[in-house]
Amino acid sequence: MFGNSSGVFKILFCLRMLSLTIFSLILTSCTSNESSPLSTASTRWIEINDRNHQPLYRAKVPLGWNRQSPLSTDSLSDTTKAIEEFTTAEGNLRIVIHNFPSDMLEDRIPPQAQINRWKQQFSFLNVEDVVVAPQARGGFSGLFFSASGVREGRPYSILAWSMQLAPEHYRQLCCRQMRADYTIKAMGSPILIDKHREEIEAFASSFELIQEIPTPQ
Amino acid sequence: MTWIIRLYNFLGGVYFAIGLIVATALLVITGTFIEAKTGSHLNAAYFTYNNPLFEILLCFFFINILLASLRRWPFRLRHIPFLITHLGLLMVIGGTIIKNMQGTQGVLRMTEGGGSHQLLIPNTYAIHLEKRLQGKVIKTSLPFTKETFYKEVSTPFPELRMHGLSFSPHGKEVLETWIKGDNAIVAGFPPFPVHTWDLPPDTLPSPTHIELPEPWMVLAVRTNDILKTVQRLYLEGLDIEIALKKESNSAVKKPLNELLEAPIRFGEGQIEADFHLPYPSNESLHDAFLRLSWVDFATGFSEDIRLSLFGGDHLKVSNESHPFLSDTSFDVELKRKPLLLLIEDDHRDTFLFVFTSDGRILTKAFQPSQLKTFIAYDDGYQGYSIQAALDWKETPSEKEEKQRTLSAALKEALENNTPLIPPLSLFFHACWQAEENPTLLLPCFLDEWKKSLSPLFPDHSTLPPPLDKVMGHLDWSRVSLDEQKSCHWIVHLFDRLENPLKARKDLFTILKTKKWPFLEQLIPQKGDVRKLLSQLTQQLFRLADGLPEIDYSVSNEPAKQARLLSAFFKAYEIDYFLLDEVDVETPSTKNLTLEAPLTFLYEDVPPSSKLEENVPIITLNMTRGGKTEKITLQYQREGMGFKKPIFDGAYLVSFRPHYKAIPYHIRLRQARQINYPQSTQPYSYESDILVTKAGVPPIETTLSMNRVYESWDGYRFYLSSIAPEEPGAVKQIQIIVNHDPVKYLLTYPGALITALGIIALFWLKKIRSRA
Repeated sequence: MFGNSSGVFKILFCLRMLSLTIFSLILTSCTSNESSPLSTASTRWIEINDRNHQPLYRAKVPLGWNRQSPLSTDSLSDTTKAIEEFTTAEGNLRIVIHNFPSDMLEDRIPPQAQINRWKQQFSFLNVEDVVVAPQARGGFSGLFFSASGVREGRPYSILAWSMQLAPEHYRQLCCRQMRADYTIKAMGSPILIDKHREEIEAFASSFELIQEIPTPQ
Repeated sequence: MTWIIRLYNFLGGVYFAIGLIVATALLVITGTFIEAKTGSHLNAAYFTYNNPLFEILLCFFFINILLASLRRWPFRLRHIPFLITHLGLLMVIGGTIIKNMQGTQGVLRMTEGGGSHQLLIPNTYAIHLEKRLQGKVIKTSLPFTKETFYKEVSTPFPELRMHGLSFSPHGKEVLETWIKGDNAIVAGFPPFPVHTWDLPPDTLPSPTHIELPEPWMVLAVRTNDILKTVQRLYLEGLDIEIALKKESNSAVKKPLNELLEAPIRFGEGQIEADFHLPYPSNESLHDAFLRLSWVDFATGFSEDIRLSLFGGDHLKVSNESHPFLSDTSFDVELKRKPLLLLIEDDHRDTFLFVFTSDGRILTKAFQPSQLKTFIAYDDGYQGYSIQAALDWKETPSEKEEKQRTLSAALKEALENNTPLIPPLSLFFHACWQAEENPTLLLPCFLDEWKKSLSPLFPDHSTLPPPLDKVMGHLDWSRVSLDEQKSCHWIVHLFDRLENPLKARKDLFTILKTKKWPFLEQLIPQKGDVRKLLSQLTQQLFRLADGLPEIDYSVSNEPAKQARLLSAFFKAYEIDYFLLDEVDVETPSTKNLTLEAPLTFLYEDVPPSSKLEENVPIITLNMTRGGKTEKITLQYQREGMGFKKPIFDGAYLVSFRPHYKAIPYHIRLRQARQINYPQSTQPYSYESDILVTKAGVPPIETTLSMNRVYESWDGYRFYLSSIAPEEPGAVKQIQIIVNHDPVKYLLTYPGALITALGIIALFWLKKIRSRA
């Protein structure tokens, strides 16, 4: 392109150094983040049914958790019954999931009311250990609750989430099961809760509706 | 043939190359100046990078490099580094040309829980149409450019054709709410005229009358002086009725305007009024009040009362001169014909005022630029409207309701065997002895005490017969001697305080003058007479055993017994204010719900040199089956806004950027802001997403400020923004997507080959020289 002009030799010398720099830049350019496939070696995705025994939610569950699903012949119209339950390998830590279908926004139970109910399950509550924090995930917003104390004479801890579908999503969804609020509650001894805290939090973080919520336009 | 060879040599020669470099430099410099001068990157891009001239320059670079290489034919070994370098350059330029033609850059928007694969391509134009068919919504779009706008075209819906009528590069869309031009609209009623004035005229226009269902007056005004207009219209036709509680024949009814101008004779004295209406807004109108000052010339008694005018609660009356009293010497009522007033200012903000029949003021503001809520009929297919819902409570006899509620609470306490505090135990025992119902008589006693306007029950009152009977059965032997002593001392103290209090002397100063020994403990209640009296009573009660002995004998007169009993109540913080604190179930709430259709007004505005700020406005002619409808639309740059119905709601149409579907669907799981520890300063923004593509397993990944997701086929996803910041709020994110289809095929390999070629050029040349 430039021919063999002698006046270009000095420029070419600088270009020599520049080429080394470009070469090293190409090799060290920004990398995209690592991606992970859906399941890892220690977790698996499972689907959780709604109160009509139809798949509604999915979540990543540690392999060591035992699952106790309601029988397909059981009626789950009573919202005090869990839609899914897990126990850890030790057996003394339970994770229960409930959902509360509704037809109108006004029918829903506020997350704080759930928290108040869980607080009353303690015969003695360590007030300093109580954590209530706002959370939002997967189109749901609500409260995270963590507390420890005594129940029926034994040390007891709860790690729980009470989540509601955001109002802007509520009218986008047609069926009351999809609109349902949900709660995830892990309960057991404080030692077990601490031991499995990361697993439980990862499980709650992964909990979502199988079907995507339509985006309003 | 010669000219072909000359052309061939020229196009592959160094002079042409230098010319291209100079042209490119000039183009880039021009773009820089344009951007600096206009502040608009879009403007600069229009003249440079997005200009066809730039594409032509790239093509010429390609030709120049290619022909420069081909001119070396027949190729020798020594040409290899040169050819490698030029091959790399050709690949880079070729990749750039293909990316400009085939590449994509756009924006994906989504909310947590949702997803998208529709890329919004900024600065493009498209008409978006949707209709419903057999229960499904069908959406489509028709891209266009300014050049193709005026052609009549078929839309993707075959029955619908479109023809551009006008394209304005910049305009303004104004939402009209209640006032549209010269008329005001309330849904369901005929339009009524809008009166325009700077200041309210001496003679006000006659309002229009509507049935809501009661008769209401409605008036619409366009003015900049909202305060004077509201004041004038509020007072117009407003009457005040005042009556002394103790004299049934003392009622006076006058227009409030007259009372505001001059005091009037009332009872044995006179009464004057003061009206305060601050600049109307939802917050400031809480301070709207009417103050009445009454002086009884015969007794020298004076009283100031304040009537709150704003809001849905029953008009609250407070006694400003005697704050320890919850009641007043006279009853006040305001009466007028109810008026609905709409006021529009020069910003086109509309204020809705309701003046109820009892003088209450309610208001709502509607600012088109910040419309918080609206109603979409049938998802917008039947249009949009705004709504004002106002409600206020009316309690015909609040006093009776409060007494009933208190009685019910007392009855429940008795049924639950709740232990009674000593004064209640004394009173209830006396009631049972007198065979009277204590749950009914206690509210009655409190009400009589309230009517007396005295901090303790006055010892000269006449009691209703049931109470009279009960007082005769009070058995003070059931009360400890210390408590009895305290009660007598409380009576004794209040005997000395009542007259100075009625003469409006400051209680704290009186106590200070009398060298009350425990004054320091009363300082926190200094400004609040009621709390001060309560604290004082309790101090005395607690000092029982330290107080000097006192004469315990009390006359059997019921009023004197009642006074002693009231002192006992007060020591346990029971007085007539208890009645005011009772919450009652209001038997009737009146409400008014009004709606007005939302309409759109468009104005041309001179375009800005900063192209990003320009918002085009277009008018289209839509044709369907021989029928034609014109529609004007504003460009919705963010792809959000009202969709306008056409052909009686058969279609919705909007003017937005073009959307392009990409093969990757992104679902947003969670977006979050991570702050520095123990700080609200953001450290990072992250989004957990799920990336799915047909035939490929889904991938979970996290985007953050310096972490992008890049697919093997050249799609790059950058996290651009997250809102809102609150941790408990559902987030919306914006992802910028960049697609270079030949990045890994041409551009990057080309750059590598160029680098290798350059290295080979310099190092091999050196080796050959040494050889």
